[in-house]
Amino acid sequence: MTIDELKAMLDDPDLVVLDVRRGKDWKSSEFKIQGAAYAKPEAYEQWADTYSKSKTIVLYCA
Amino acid sequence: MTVQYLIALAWMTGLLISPEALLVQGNLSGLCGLGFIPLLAAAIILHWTNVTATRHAGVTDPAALVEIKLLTGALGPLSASVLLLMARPALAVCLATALLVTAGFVFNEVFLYWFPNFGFAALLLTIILVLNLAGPRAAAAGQLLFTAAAIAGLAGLAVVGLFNGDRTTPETATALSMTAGARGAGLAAIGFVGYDLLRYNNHRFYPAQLAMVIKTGLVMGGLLLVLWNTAVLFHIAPSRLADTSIPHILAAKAIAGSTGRIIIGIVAIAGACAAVNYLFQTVARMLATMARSHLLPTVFGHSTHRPTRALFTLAVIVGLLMATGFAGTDWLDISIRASLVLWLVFYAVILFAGGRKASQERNPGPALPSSRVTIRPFSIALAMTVIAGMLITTDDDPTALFQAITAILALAVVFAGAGLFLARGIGTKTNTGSPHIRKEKNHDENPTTSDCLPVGSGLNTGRSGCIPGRQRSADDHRRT
Repeated sequence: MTIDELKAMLDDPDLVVLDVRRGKDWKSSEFKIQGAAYAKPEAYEQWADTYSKSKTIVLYCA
Repeated sequence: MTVQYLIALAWMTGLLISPEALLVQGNLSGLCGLGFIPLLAAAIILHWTNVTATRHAGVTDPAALVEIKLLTGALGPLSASVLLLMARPALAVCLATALLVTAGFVFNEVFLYWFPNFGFAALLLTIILVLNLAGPRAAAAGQLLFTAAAIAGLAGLAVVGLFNGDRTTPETATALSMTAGARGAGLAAIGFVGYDLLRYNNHRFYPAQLAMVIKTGLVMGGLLLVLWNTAVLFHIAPSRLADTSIPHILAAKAIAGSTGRIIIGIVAIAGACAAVNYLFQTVARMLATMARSHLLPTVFGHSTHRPTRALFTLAVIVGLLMATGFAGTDWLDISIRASLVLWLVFYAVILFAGGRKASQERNPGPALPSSRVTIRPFSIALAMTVIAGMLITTDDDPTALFQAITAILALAVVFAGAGLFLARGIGTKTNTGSPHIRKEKNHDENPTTSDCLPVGSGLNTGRSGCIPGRQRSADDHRRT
């Protein structure tokens, strides 16, 4: 998915954006994508089932 | 000489004002509130005493060789090499990677959003490598610029934060728990680690002068951090500071809004450059000095004044760590913490070796050492070891930290063993005493390693050190 495609979808209620950055990528950054929720990649099994499969789930890691 | 002092101070404060150091300070303030002040003061006293004790033990000598000679003589070449490799080069590559990546993010998010953070990090790495390859003068000029920018920005923000803006009364950490206190003491102590590398790039000082430069840097750096941390506590709640990974950015925004964000952006980038420049300059020289002492392959030891091969090696490793995404793993931060713990252990070991040497020289025979000079190194060594232990036990993930320490130690053993093997070869009788440096034909320009003669007969004459200028080349005198 490109940046523009994601931008166009940001107001979509069926969109879930997950920030799965790790290490310095996460810790050094001041920002995240609008409406994104942080999800620890190591804890994938804990949060994977909490999101409906009918929604569009976008993960970004950098 | 004033310029030399300024340059030396600029080198030394490079590590104190890096974004990683500001992160440690922010977390310390968050953990202890205004209780950070006595902890920082205690840390300064500890390191001050460390400098005094190591000087009396003949270790803090402008002749960097003395340190290597002392360790080699006391522990043998393999152990000495492991100790020298386990903390400093490990921290140099891990911290440099972290700082450059952080600078990349700051540039991307504060200044130019379209400029790739990785590209900026690589650009900074190249600039610092070129500065170092251009020679000590270029590197020193860069260091003055980086440090001045970072200190000016941080001090300016601290003053504004203390006297202007929407201040709140800083919260005092009520009933600081034992764990928080121990953690705070550890964080305060590691905030100053790294000054001992200064001896590798300041060869024009007598031992007392070098010790004074370090002590001045500790006090001035400590005062700046007290000002900054207090200003931060005026604007951000401790609970938030303790958890965040960008306390300095949050504080700068709270103090001076978007202007503060730009200033702290400059501070972060300049501070990162200053710290990486310092680590590259000094650690490369240390590796070259080790090679000249036959602890590493001679390929690194062609020059301690301009150690291009060691510099390239460090830069390539950092570049590889960045390119392979190591910065995107939690292991980078854990490795930095592990290297800092190992550095405290290194302080303890070198004090122990120096103290032992001192006791042997002052109290020949079986008599127990009782003088102040011999007791002090052991006491500080014990304090350093206790703090290292506290840092491990109070860490967020002690198991991972322990694993990282083990991995770094294992790597150091492998590199030290391979280095000795390549430097001396199988079956060659190892020289555990003095290296053959002064007899080498290829006299280096830097008297740090090749042209200094220790004053007195031993390491512990109370005024041991080198006589700058003695046996120097004519070229050196011209440069002086």
